Amino acid sequence: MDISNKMYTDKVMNGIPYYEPAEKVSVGVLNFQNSNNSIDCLLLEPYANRLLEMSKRSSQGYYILAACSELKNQPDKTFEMVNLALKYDPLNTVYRVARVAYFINISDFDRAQREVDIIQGIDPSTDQFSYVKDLLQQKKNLKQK
Amino acid sequence: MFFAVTTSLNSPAMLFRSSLLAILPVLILIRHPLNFKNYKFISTIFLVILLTYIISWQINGQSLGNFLFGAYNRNIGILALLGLFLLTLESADYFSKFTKKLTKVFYATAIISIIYGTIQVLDQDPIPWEKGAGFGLTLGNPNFSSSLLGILSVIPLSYVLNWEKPYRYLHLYAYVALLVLILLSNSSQGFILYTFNLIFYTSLRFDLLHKFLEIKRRYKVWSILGILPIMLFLVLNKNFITYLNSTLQINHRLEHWKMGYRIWRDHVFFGVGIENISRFSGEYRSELIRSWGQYTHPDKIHNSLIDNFATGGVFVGFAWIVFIAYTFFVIGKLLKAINLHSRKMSIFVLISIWITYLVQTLFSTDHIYLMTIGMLAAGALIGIYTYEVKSLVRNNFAKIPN
Repeated sequence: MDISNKMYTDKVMNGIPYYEPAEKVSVGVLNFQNSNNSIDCLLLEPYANRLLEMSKRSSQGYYILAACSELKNQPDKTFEMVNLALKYDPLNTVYRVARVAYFINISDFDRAQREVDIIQGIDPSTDQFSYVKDLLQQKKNLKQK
Repeated sequence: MFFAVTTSLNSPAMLFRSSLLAILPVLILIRHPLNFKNYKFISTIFLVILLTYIISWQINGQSLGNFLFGAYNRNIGILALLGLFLLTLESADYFSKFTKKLTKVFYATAIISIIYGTIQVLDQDPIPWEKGAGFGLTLGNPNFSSSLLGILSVIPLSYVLNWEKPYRYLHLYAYVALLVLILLSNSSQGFILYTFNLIFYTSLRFDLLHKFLEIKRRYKVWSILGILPIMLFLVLNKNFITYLNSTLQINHRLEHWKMGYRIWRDHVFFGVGIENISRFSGEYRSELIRSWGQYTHPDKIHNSLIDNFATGGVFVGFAWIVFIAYTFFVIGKLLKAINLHSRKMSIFVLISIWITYLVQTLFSTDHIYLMTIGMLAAGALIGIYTYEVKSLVRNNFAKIPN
């Protein structure tokens, strides 16, 4: 699966409406772009919409939309999309990390802490978890001072 | 259908196979129209299943592609299911008269599987399949390929045990070759089915259950007492239980079953839609399933009974149970009248294939090819009952000997 090849990914996304390979490709593309720090919502949003067209319960579709809303600085939409992603996949810790980040951004540290505790119980090795956990601690310390 | 691989030849995707299953029975139906009145009961069961899935599709807002063609790499959507049901009825019509043709087709499949499996084991397969833990024939997964070999192993076995048949040693060779391939597949499923078939078929063939019931009571007690300590030793032996669990992945299967139950509990009447489990498993998976992978969303329950309840609710679940019960009723009737049959060996073989297939679906996922084999066998048995046994009883033609 060559995620960096747009022709290949477009072919999968626009071919036979099979959800599983489409989800695999969109997760791959998002992770690939994330690792290069270059999220391209012009490419990703149509993928997310395609996933949601195939299934209204596509947690990954909602998560991509959340990531793009965050880039566009639309916090309410980001929160709504992350919540929808978690509704259909509550044990996905990547989505939960995104929710922690949102709660930190709006300075709701109690809810952020509850979310951190949940992730700690499910999978503390999740990407970026240590980062948001430390960030939360710092913010809480700052607030106490 | 065995050779129905995808156009790119490197993926075990079942779409082509599924399309054949949807189209061929319709073409056969056009050429040889069926008299559905002969199969009112099972036609009604099939109709209930299909209609429930249509309702479920609407209720759950399932995508049309998923509904029609099924999940990726499974492809038992509504079209394939309709084809499968038609094929079952056509099998009842045709193979009830030409039963041996069906067992010969199955035997040919077993021989082709042996040849192709050997090529794969020797690493000489020109088709670059996605690599699994063992060879997958054209079924894409060593669990399914070994199950296929296990299910079909009864055919050479039937020839080996039939003393009058010529070339008995060639059949024995085929029977042993199937076992060797199953062992090389690294999958326990085929071995379980192979062993089950051996015990079940020989019991049928030599009427062992009757013979056991006829022996003196004290011998029965002694034989049971002899087995009991061995069973107790195995059950109480932690190493054996751990070995059994890791080989058969019992915990994994139980997790799938529990998830299926949770899905069904929230979708009691119409389920979540045909082949639509993976859209719901994210919401219903347990922490253990989550620990297998962040994006592990099972698309099957690993038990067709629970799978039917979860995807089609009580209507599909009970319809499937009624269908199974009906086939057992048919088998019971056929066995009662078995001595009147010149084709009793073929009937034994078909019974074994159907029941072994059912056993497979109780601990593993359904596969479109295995399903076709199982349903062809069930259809033929229903046909034989409908056309021969029923009329024998109706005409009071013969007193059926015990």
